[in-house]
Order: sequence, then structure tokens, then C-alpha cells
Amino acid sequence: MNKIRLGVIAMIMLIVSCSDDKDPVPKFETELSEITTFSGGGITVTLYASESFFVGFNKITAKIADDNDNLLNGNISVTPMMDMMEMDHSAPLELPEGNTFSDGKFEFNTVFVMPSGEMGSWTLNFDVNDTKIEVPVTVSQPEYARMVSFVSAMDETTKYFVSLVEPGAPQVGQNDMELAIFEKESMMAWPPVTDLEIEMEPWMVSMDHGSPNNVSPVHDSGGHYLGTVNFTMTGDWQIRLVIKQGGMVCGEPYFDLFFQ
Amino acid sequence: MLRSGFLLLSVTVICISVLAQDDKTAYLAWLDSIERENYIADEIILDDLLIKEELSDEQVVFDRFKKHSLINTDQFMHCLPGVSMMRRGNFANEPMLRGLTSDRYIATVDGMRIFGACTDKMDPVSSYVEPINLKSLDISLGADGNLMGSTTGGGINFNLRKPVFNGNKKITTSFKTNYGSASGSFNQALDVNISHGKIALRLSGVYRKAHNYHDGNGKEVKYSQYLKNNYAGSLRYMPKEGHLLSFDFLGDDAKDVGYPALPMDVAYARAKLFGLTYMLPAIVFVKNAEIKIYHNFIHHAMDDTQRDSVAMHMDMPGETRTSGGYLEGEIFHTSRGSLRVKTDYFRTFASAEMLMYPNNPEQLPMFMLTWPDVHRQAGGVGGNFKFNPTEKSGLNISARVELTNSYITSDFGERQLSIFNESGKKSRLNLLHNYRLSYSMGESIKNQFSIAYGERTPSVSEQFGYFLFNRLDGYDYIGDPDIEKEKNIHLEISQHLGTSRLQASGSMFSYYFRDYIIGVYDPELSAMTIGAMGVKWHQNTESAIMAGTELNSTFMINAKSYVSGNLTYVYGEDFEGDPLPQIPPLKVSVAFDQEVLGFTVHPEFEWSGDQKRVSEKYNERPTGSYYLLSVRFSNEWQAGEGSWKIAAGVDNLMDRAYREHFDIGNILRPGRNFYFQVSGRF
Repeated sequence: MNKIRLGVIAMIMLIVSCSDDKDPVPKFETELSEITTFSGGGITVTLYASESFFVGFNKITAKIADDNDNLLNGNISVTPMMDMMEMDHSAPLELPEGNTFSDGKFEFNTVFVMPSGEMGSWTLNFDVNDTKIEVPVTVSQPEYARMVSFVSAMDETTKYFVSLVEPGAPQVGQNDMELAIFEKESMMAWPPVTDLEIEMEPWMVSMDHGSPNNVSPVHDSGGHYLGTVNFTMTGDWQIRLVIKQGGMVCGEPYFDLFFQ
Repeated sequence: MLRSGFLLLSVTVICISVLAQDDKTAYLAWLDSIERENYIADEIILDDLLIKEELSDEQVVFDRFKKHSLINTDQFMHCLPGVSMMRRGNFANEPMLRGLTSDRYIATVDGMRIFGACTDKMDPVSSYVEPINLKSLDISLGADGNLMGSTTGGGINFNLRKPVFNGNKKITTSFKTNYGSASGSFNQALDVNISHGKIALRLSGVYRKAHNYHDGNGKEVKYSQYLKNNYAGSLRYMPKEGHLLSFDFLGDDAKDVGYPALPMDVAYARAKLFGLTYMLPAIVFVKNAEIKIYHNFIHHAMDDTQRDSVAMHMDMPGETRTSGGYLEGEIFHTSRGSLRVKTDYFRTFASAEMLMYPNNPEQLPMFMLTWPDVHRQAGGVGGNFKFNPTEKSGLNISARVELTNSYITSDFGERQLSIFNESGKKSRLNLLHNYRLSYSMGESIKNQFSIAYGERTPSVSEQFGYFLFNRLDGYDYIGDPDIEKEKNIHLEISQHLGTSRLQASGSMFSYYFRDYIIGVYDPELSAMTIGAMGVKWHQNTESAIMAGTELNSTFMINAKSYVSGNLTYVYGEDFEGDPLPQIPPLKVSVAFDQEVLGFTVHPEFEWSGDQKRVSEKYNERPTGSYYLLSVRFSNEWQAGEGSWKIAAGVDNLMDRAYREHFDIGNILRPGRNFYFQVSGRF
């Protein structure tokens, strides 16, 4: 008896799911906010992120469609470019594996290393199925730095760019800690740095105390370092870092986190 | 262990002749302006029906309280054997029972559980009860909670004064006004009793105000002022013989209270207590039954805006809400024995937070929860069996079990705990046991032996406190959600000697604690409070030992004079054999009372030994010995149907600069104080 019932339910579900499959048009769905949109060469690129672009580690989702809003598939590449009149440079970039995208959706991460302004302006240069689109974007400097750069004290030439990926919205208690560290090899090459040792201490500056049970970030993959940071109260916390390479101190950057 | 054993033995030898304290000691709070012959008479008639209010076998009435003005509950309790009053300022002293602080004993008002709302213990329960509202005080010491609850250190119950059915006099009133020089204090108290047929109403009000007091060096102790109002109402209705319905309300508003020993003062402390009681001859098989439901809440706000210089201004409000009820009564009561039972339940909520304002206005204020919405429920059932095998011997057996459940509800608090990989939201149950067996024999010389076992649930701060600064040792304290219950095995022998002229009693006790809860330093953690020395965890330590003695005697020289004396001593050591903190040293007091030309003259002498056994873990320093002299005079005369009374005297006559060892901070107690009081009752 039960088996028969199950069979009937399974059949109904099959019918229902089949009728769903009759609508093959893919939809583009995201919970992120639209930041900008730009059309060129018959292609419209719309960029989404959780907040407007800032100096630091940005997670970006691009919607790639034709002028009739049909979602595209195919090959894609992107390069962030800073045009400073006398020179151009790129920025650290993390792309998904393979140079393809489907259903109009393409996700990537980049570290904007300076704000837009009189010094120059940013574009994200897409190449979609051999069509080039340069999407101008505005990058602002956040109130409290979310990326710091410094020249290594060891060789006094290597320039590191340390981004605070997590905590994006710090809370009292235990927070995941994630740093992304890249170096500037040339104007166009910004590879991740994978061999750093990091000591971390959160510090409540106005009261001069730390917090217990933190785990200093260690390298996971692709220049991303994972750890745990604890905040015992709200207020103006500083995440103090000592970054070492081979036991030698490269730099001691810090991040200010103000949260209520 | 060996050392304490030897000590116990030597104390035994010293005080071989005196002793005796029974199961529960009830102290009549004497209130010179209130006590009234017909009040007492009426109370007795009524109370015969109501066993609850009957004072226990060993009723100790301290005559000296009867004749001399006591302006506050702290002063009254200071005189009781086994009780020490720990000071943080000139207000709201914390009672200590044989060197144990309020985490280890139960404090109730008319049997109602109530919990202070200050994370720094600025508001012990005694601070909400004024002498004018206090009828008597039940104190039990040690692992026996005497049906009050589960405890390792005893309990204090403040019995509130009730309206009197006063057939022949419908309205009676009494009042008192008092001035003290050391702090320029004014105390006013008034009560009115209205009786009409089967209804009686009592209303009372108290106003107390004090400025900074001067210590024995003549120095003004800043931030020791206070201001408070207390108001109470009690309504009783007797629907028929043997039945009594009462409603009690107590409100207390203190504001602008200075705590010189602490880094903060109190902006306000407000308590409201409500109780509804019904007494009746029997419910099913429970006779002389009392049913009570109650609710109380306290709002408390610490404040440091009046201080000259603080590292950082903070707001620290706290709140507790408690409600509960109980059923108490007798299964049987004969001349040979009785069985009392009680079942009770309460739930309490405690919440406290801390908001810190950096001196640099560009920096953000900081926020944390110091009591993260802590809930606790407790239900218990217990009984007390008394039996007299012979006319001269008595057996007394108590047993009680209680189940408690503790948890937090704040998401913010849960995140705070995530730092330590802890969760506060899950239920934590504790099954608590309290047992006691005592045997007494003899008549004019009565010997008693008792053995008790008690367990208590950790206090809110011990379980969920979050970076609470303790001024005693200068450390921040964190609670441990997984902390275990504390246990105490309590042995006591006592002897009571009673003749027509001499009453002497004494007792010796030893406590052996297991899982003794105390702060243990954790070098891994950095202090939160500016200037704090580090962080301590509330932890169960293997054991702790306490032992001590109390001796009391009163000798009637003749009908118009007597002399009385007390001696107390407590010894304590922790799991590593080091001294426990805040242990009161040897103390002796002697008082003499004589009638001269209609005036009662009452000189008192109090001597305290030095305390060299100090806890280094608590950064304690030795405290020197001191002695105090005081003299009191009073005279009372009839005026129509009422009477007038004047009382005057001087405390700390020699203007000694002194502090007690267990006082918080290095603040001296008040110097010479002249007081004057007028009271009347009509």
C-alpha cells in the first residue's frame, strides 16, 4: 500500500518537474546591489557587489548580456586597469578556473589599490567572445582603510598589498579572519604572496587591551591567509599585524575597525 | 588540614564551657521607636495560629538593641554573632556570614528570593530593608539553608513588619528623627498602623540623607554621601478565624550614593517588592499552611560622572527581576515532634551592561554585556523533622533537593562567549542537595552536635560574569558557564548554659568545601579595565577549609544592670593551604548596661585583633588591631497614651582611625560620631 502511494507521489513530482523544464530561458539572479552598467559592441556588462567599489578586496559579479538582455555564454577575460595619464597599471585579480562563463554570470575578485580621482581612473577591461568592453568604475577610499600597502623592510623593494577580506562586518565575539596579500611585480603583474608568516593581535586602542584566544592567519591558498579574531566589546579595535618572511619582519601594518 | 585540625582542637580546649546555637537563630530586630507592648501582644495572639512567624527555639534577644538607637540595618547586623559587615562605603554594607560573602548564602525578604542588580555587589539585599520595616531576622549559618534554599554558607531572612489588628486603638503612629555628626546625617522615619475590624493596614516611610563622613584622622572621606527614600505598605485581611490574607509592598529609592572604596558611585538604586500571602489552617494534609507568590525587581545604575578624575567614564546599569512562590506548612505537630515541609519555585533574570566613553571624543564608545540576560529557574522541595526521644534530648533532621536551570538569552552575550568557544544558551541543570542532622541533649547545660551537607549553584557572576572588575584584588573576573556546583560539609558543636542570671552560649564549626569557587588568575588573558592587574576566572578549586567559633554571654548583675560579651574567630585556607581572603580576625566586644537616674547608660567596647594571615593571591595586606569605645544614653517617658524617648551617644569615642580587614579598599571607617535622636509613639 505504502509503496503504491510513494509511486504515485513520485510520478506527480516527475510531472511537475518536467513542466518546470519546459522553460529553458536562464535567469540571472543575485542578492548583490547593482554598481554600474555599461554597453558597447552589442554587449551590456552590469556589475554587482555588496557595496560600491572601494580600495581593497572587492568581490564582483558581472552580468553579461546582449543588447536585448539575452544572457550570453562563451569565453571571457577581465583586466582591471588604472589610467594615470603618464602610465597605466593593473591590480591584483582572482579569476575562476577556465576562461569561460555561462548563463551570463561571471564572478571574480580584484583589489583596487588606489581610489579613483584626479590621479587617474579605473576601468575593468572585459574581453567577451573577442569583443572588448572597457567598463569605467569609480573606486572610493573607505573611511577606515581596508587595504594597506608597504614596502618590505627586508629588501626595501618588494611592495606588498594586504587586504582585509574578513571580517567584513565585524561583531563582538568570534570572527573569521581572512587576509589576501599580493605583491607588485610589475605594472601588470600582481601575484599572490604565499610564504608569509603573520602574527596578529586585536587591540582596543582607547583602553589599551587586547582580546583572548585569537588565531593568527596562516596561508591557505592563493595568497589568502585564514585565522580567527575575537572582539570582547564594541568600539575602535585595531588589528595589529606583524608580517614576516623567513622569520624576518617585513612590515607591521594594521587595520582600524570601528563598529558599534 | 593538619593545621586546621590542630586549631580546631585548641579552640575546643579554650572554650570548653560555653556554647549553643540551634538550627536557626532568630534575632528580634529591635526598633526603639516602633516596638509597642500592645503590638507585641496582638502579634502573639495572631501568631499562635501562624507557626511561620513563631520565633525559633533558641531565640536570642539582644537587650542592648532594645535600648539604644540603631539608625540602619547595617548597624544592627554588625552586632550579631557570626555576622560581619563589609564596607565599600558608608552605605549598603554587605553582610558576611562567618567570613563568607553573599555568593555563598541565601538572602530573602519575608521568604522572597531577591537578587541585587549590581555586578559589583553595591546593593546587597540588606540595603533595601530599613529597620522600621524589620520585625526580625532569621539567620542560619553553614551548609543548612533551613528550608530557605540550597546553600553552602547559610541564609538570612529579613522578616518584614506587618500591620497589627488592634481592636482597641484604631490608628497608631510612631516616628523617629536622628542626627549623626560624623557625616551630618539626618534620618527620618514614620509609620502608621490603621486597624478596622478584620482589616489592618500599615504604612511607613523613611528618608535618610548623609554627607561625606570624616574618618578617625579627621579627614573627609570623599564620595561617601548618600540619599535614600524607603516606603512600604502592608495590608492584612482576616476573612475568618485562622485565615489571613496579606499583601506587602516595599519600595526603596537610593540616589547619589558614594562608594569611596570603588572607582564608581551609584546614580540610583531602585527596588520594588510585591508579595501576596495566604495563611490557612490546612490544605489537604498540610496544616498551618502558608502560600505565597511574589515578584520583585531592582534597577541599579553605577555612575562616575561626579568623580574628579577617571581614566574613562562608564555607564553600568544593571537589572534583576525575580518572581516565585512557595507552599510551606506542617504535616504533623505534637509535643514529641513535628514535620515541616516546604516546596518552592522561583525564576530570576539578571542583565547588566557596560558602556565606556573614551576621553578622545573621536573614538567610539565601547559596549559589552557584563550579565548577558541570564535566566535562572529553581524549584525545590524540603522537609524538617524534629523529634524529642526524651524530655531532655532532641533530634532534628532536614533534607532538601533543588533543581536549577541556568542559561542566557542574549545573542550579543552568546557572541561574547564564542571567544572562549562556549555557549550560554543551552540549559545547564544542577541538582542540589542539602541535608542536616543535629542532636541535642541537656537542659540547663545543653549540648548540641550537628553535621550538615550543602550544595549551591554558582552565582550569576560566577557563571556568566564578563570582565567584572573586582576592587578587592584589582583583577577583572570572568564567569565560567560550565562551572560546577560548590559543596560544603559542615560540622558544628555548641553548648548553651542557662541560669537565672547567666546566659552563655558558644559554638565551634568547621566547613570543608569541595569545588570551592574562587577567582584563579589566567596569565593568558589581558585585563579589560584600565589599571587592572589581569584576569581571573571563576573556577572550582579542589577544596577550602574554614573553622571558627562564636561565644556569647550575658550576665545580669542586678535588675538594673547587666554585662554582655561576644567573641568571634574565623580561620580559612584555600586548596593550596594559603589563607582565604576577607577573613575576619579575632574580635571581642563587651557591653555594660546600667540604669542611672532614669537614664540608661550603655558603654560598649569592641576590640579586633590584627589579621596577618592574608591572601597574597588577592593582594591583601595585613590589617592592624584596633579598639573602639562608645557610650549610649537614653530616656523614655509616658505622655498620655503614647510616649516620648530621647537617645544620644557617641560612637568611636576615642576617634580611632581604623578599618576592618575585610573592608574593600583602603578606606577608613567613620571617626567619632555624636548622635541625637527623638522618637515618639502615639
